[in-house]
Amino acid sequence: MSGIANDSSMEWAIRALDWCVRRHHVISSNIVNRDTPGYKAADVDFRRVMEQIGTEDEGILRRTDPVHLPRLGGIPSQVLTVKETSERPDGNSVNLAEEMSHLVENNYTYQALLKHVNGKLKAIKLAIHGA
Amino acid sequence: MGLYDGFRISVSGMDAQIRRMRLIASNLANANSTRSTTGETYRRKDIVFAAVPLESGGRIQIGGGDGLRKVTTVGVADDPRPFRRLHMPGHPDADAQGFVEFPNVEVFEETVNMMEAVRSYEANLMAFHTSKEMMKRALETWR
Repeated sequence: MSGIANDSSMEWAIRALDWCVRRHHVISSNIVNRDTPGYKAADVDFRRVMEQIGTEDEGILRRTDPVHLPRLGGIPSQVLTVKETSERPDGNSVNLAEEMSHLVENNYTYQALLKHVNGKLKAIKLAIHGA
Repeated sequence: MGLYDGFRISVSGMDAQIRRMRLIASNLANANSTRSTTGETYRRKDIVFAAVPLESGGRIQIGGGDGLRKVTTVGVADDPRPFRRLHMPGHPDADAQGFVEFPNVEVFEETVNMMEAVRSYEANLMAFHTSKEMMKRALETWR
């Protein structure tokens, strides 16, 4: 059954929101380790995330009932890209300016997705209460 | 994993930068200290950072290598560079040839370090602020 409450765009938006939060944490990790010798900057590869999403729930903690919430586990290493090349003598590959732009960009993607979810919820609200 | 992890990561960075700042202050304050607790001339100190996995905080950690690393300070390293030797025969800490060993602290170097620490601190603050903003927006859903 498909309706305003459970169409797939809502589900995708929520999954994407989850991935935005994960990416935000990866970016925060990079910023925090800007002065750590040998640290390599990582990022979430969204193309690989899309491939991952289909198999996501087949991990260690498999859902036994589709009603259960999906796991919010760690980030599978296969979706992380690690920047190995460093221009600094200590081997650190974090570029602060780049990370700051990723931070902002990711934040706006997150907000756009939330807006979409909000719009959906408003539609449901409208259906319940009327105009 | 949760929204709070963002705060924990960023806070570890701000804390580390404050520790770094304290050490820089110590270096600057002792730029001319010819005596220290070891009896030797004050030696410039440097902080050592290390990236450590964000502990799960009691929750089950699923899989490994989730890429999230906070920062921690693993210790303080003494700068092995030689002391500045100045000829000051009247100084109470002068050796037999009249040379006094002054700390290997370079004021300009410390100033640049200080600027870097501030920049890193601000970057972490920005990440913290973004975490907060994301959380706030999520809470505002259904309004």
